[in-house]
Amino acid sequence: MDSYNYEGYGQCEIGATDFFSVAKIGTEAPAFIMMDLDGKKVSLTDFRTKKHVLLEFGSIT
Amino acid sequence: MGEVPPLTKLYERYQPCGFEFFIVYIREAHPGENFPHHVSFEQKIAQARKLQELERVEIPILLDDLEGTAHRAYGLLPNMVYLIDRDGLVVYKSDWTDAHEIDGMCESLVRLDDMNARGVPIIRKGISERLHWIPMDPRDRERIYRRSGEKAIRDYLNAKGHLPYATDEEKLNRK
Repeated sequence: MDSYNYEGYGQCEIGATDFFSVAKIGTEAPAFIMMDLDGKKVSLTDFRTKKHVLLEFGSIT
Repeated sequence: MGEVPPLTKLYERYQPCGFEFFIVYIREAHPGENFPHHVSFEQKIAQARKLQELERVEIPILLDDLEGTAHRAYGLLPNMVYLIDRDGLVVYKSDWTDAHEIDGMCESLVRLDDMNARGVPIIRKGISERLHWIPMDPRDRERIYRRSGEKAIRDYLNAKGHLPYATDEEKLNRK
């Protein structure tokens, strides 16, 4: 767990092997509950039957 | 995240058509002196706000937890994109942001909604696969790495053997 937030690039595997083995096309997207910057909790299930959801993962660097 | 401006345009276009877009703020891919790795959730929130400010992000930002629970569940790449339909199914996944592909895929879902509204029967769901090519603007990339700090550039150089913003020609010249 400690290595997830690695201190420097190159210290840990960045995930190329995980990407195609999880959250596959046509399967149910992994559930999540995350907080937005206003402190509001957002759950994927909030959008069920209502909205299509696009997620872009990223950071500053 | 060099692709933020085009994605913002797509957000403006598709949000009125039944879409929600989110940026999921995850671990720093290239931590440096100015934007170090996260050691607390408070720091992660502060850096997410900084991202919003620096890139003038209009798309709502969601905060993954400090341990990267959502990031892990979706495959751990630094700049991946997923489109999930109203039924909660993954209909598109990409290892990097490609605004043209996202545009095409959103358009497909708009067409699907239209077919459903008109009662057009769907015989089956098909799957396609493709390669895509990630353009790189060396100056933009250099800007992002410099913004993170010299450490980010040094770490990349140590890991890969060339500068993060090296062109193909410069990479060949090093060998």
